[in-house]
Amino acid sequence: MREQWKKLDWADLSFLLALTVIGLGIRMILRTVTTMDWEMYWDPWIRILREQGFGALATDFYDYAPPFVYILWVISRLPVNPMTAYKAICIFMDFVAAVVMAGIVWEATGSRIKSVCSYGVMLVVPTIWANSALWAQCDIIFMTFVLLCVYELLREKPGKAMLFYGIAFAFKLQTLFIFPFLVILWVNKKIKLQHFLWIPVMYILGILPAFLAGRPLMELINIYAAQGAQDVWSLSIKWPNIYQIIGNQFFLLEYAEAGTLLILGILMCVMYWMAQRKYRITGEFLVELALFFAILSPYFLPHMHERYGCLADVLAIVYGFMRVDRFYVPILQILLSFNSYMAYLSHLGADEPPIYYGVWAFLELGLLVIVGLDLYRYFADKENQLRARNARTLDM
Amino acid sequence: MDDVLRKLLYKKFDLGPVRITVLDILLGLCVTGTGVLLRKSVMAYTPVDLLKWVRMGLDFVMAALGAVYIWSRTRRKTPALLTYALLVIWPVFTANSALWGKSGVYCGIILLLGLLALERGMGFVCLEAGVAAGFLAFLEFPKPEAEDLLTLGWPNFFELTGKTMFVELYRKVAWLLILGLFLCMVYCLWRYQVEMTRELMLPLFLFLAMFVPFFAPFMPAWAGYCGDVLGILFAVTVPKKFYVPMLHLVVSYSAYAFALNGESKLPMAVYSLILLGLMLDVGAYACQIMEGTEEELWQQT
Repeated sequence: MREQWKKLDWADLSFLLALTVIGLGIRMILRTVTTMDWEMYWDPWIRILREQGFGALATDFYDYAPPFVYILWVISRLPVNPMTAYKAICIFMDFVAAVVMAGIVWEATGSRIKSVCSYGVMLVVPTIWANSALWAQCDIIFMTFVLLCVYELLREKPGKAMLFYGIAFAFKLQTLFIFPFLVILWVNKKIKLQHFLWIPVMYILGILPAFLAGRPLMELINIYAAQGAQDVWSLSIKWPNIYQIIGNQFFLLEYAEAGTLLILGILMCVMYWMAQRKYRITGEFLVELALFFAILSPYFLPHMHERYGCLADVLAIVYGFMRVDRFYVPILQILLSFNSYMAYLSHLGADEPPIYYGVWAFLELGLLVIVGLDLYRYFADKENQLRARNARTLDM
Repeated sequence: MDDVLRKLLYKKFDLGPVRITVLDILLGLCVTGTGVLLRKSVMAYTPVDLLKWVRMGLDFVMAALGAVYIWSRTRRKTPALLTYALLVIWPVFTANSALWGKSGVYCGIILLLGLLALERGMGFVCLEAGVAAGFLAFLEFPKPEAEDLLTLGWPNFFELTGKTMFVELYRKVAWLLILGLFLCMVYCLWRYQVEMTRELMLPLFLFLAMFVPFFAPFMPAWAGYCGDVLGILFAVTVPKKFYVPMLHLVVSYSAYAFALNGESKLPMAVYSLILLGLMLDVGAYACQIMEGTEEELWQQT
C-alpha cells in the first residue's frame, strides 16, 4: 500500500487532510458523551482493574474477551481520564480502519480516486463515529482486523489474512458472522487448512495472560458461550432481523436454539451449493460474498444486538465503491444500522422508534436478496465458471 | 363565429424572440388570475401586512424566472409556459407566502437567478439581484435559537433516527457530516473531470436541495422549498421524472400541515423515507447522466 500512497498528489492529500479534520471534529464533539454501557461496564471494570491491578483478571467480573480487558487494564494505569483514553483508542482505530478501507478499495477496484474517497466516507459514516466516539463501544477493533483480513485476501496472502482474522476473533465473537466466507475460500483453494489454526492460536494467546493471572482455563475458553447466555430476554435486541417480523417476545428458549440451528442449516445449504461449483475468485466476488454472510448470519441468529450490522456496514461501503450502480446498498444498510443504534441510545426505555423495527427488517431482507442475487448472477455468468466439480449440479 | 374564435386562439404574434399564440396568452392570464385568487382565498389565515403582499407578488416573479430559465434551456415556449403555470399554482408556494406568511420565495428567487446566471452568462446582473434577495432573506429569517428538537418540521434523517436526543451535539456533528459527504462528492466530480452540462446541472442541484435539508439540523417545515422549485424544473425538462415534484409536494405539504395544525395522516417518518427514495432516485439519474457524458467517469484511473 506504501507504493500506492506515493502516487497521491496535492489534491488527494488536501482531500485526505480535510476529511481527517472533519472526522476528528465529529469525534471531538461526541467524546464527552457518557452512555449506559460506559457507566455499567467499562467504568466499573476499569475501577476494579485500577484497585486490584492485573490480578483482577483472575476473577469473573468481566464477560468480554480478555484482550479487550487488557486494553482496559492499560487505560487504568494511565494518568488520564479513563473515558477519554478509551475513546481515544477507539477513535484511533477508526482512522486505522479508514486507511485499511482505502487499501481494500484500491485492491478491489484499482482506482485511486475511489480509494481516497473511501477513506473519507469511512470517517463520516454515522455508524462508525457513533460506535466509538459516542457509544464508547469497541467494535472498531475487531472490524479493523476483519478489514485487514479482507485486504490480505485481496492481495492473495491467506496466511496473513487468517492471522488478522484470528486476532479479530480473539476480540469479538461476531467475527464468526463471515466465517462461512472463509470456508468457501478454502474449498476454492484460496486458503489452506493450516491457516485456520491462527484462529485457536490467537484465541489461546489472547486468553493466556488472563490464565496466568489465575482465571480458570475452562472459564476463559467458554467466555463467548457465557457471553451468549446473557441478554436472552428478547430474540432480537433491536436488530432488524427475522424475529422483528415473526415476533421476538415469545418462544424465547425454543427459538433461541431453533434459530441458531436454522442459520446453521441455511449456511450449510448455501455453502454446499457454492461448493458444488468451480468459479473464478475475483475481488468483487470476495467482497460480495463476505457482505452476503455479514447480512445473512445476524438476520437469523437470535439475540442480536443493535450494533451487529457494523460488519455489514463497512463491507457494504466497499461493495458500493465496487458496484457504483448499487450505491444505495451501503446507504440503506448504514441507515437501518444507525437507526438501530439510535433506537438504543435515544429510545431506550422510552418511546419506540418512529418506524417499527419490522419495516427495517424487511428492508434488510431486501438488501440480503439484492446481494444474494448479485452472487447468483456471478455464478451464472459463464465467464466466471471454471471446470465443474459435479457436472450434474452445474445446471443453474 | 366558431371558426373565427378557433382561428383567434391559434393566432400568432412575435414577442421578441418568441412566437406566441392567443392560447398562450390566455393560459398566462388565466393561470395568473387563478394564482391571485388562490392566494386571496387563504391569505387571511395569518396577519396580512405589506411584506406579505410583497412576498405574494414575488411568487409571480419567481414563476416568471422559472419560465425564463426553461425557455433558456429548451427554447420551447410550451414547457416554459407550463413551468410558469405550475410555479404559480403549486400549493406549497401559495401556502408558504399567502397562508403561512413565510419567506421561502426569496430562496426560490435566489436559486433561479443563480441558475439563470449559469445558463445565460448574466453573471453580474444576477449576482447583484441574488445578493439583494439574500440580504432581504437575511433580514427576514428567524435567527437560530436554542431548540429542543433536531428537526423543526421537515421530515428528514432525524425524523427516522430520533430528534430528541443529543440535540446539542448533533447540531454540530450534522453540519460536519454534510460537509464531509459534500467534499467526497466534489472530490469525485472534480477528479473524474465531470463536465457540468446543462443536463447534469438540474438533477445535481435537486439532489443537493434534498440532501442538505435531509441531514441538516433544525430544518423548518418549508426546508424543501428549493427542492420543490427544482423538482418542477427537473420534471419539465425530464418528463419521465414527473413523479419527483409530485412526491416532493406531498412531503412538503404534509410537513406544512403538520407544522401549522399538527395534523398528519401518516407518521412523519414515512415522508422521510419517501424523501430518501426520491434522493436516491435523483442521485442515480445524475450518475447515469455522468456516465453517459463522461466516458471515463466510472472507469478505473
